[in-house]
Amino acid sequence: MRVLLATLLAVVPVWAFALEPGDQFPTSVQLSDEHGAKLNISKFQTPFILIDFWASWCGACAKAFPALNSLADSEKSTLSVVGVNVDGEKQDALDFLKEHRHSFPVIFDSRGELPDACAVDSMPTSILIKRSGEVVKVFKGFSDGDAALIRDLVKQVEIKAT
Amino acid sequence: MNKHVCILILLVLATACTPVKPWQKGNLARRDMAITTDPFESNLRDHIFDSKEAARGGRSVGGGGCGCN
Repeated sequence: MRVLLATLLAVVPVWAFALEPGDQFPTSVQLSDEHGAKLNISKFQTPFILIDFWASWCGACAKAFPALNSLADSEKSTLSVVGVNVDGEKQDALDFLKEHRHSFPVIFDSRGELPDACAVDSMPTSILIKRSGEVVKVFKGFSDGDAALIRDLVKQVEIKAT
Repeated sequence: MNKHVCILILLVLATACTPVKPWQKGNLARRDMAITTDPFESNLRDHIFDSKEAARGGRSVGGGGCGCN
């Protein structure tokens, strides 16, 4: 009976819960960027960081790129945008990036360590965090109003902090 | 005893079951993985379904389950 119970416990999947506002983002995970250099989320110096999980096969991820570019360009002083590519084959991502302009750094996580740690449950997912690593908001999927919402959130949190 | 062994074997086999994570659905998002690969035929089938059932959607999931394609 003990063996049965032990086996039963072994097969029960380990449920990971998606990040929620107030949770801590795993900023210590180190991944390579397009040029092979190691990049750590905690190295960004802006008050806010937007981490976008995307894949080359995901249509909505491609739709989100112009909005991410706009955020990265217009909110430089307050917000850093980082793309985390989760393609199994890095070449697929590089081909995608040749066709889609991006004004933000992209890091590659073909083993899915970071989305696993964040329990990402849909594609694309964007996570807005403070520099301290505290999660402000998690955006599942992409909709046209997200960029404006992110701008408002950043302003609101900044106002509260002052 | 045999019953216990059978349950044990089933449980061990169950360990092979693993959920596919959203970022692992690239292969499912390929065009050739769609139920109907021809977009015209697919639209026609959808139209017939909509007309007959007075209901729309839910036939298949685009983008390998990410709901994004």
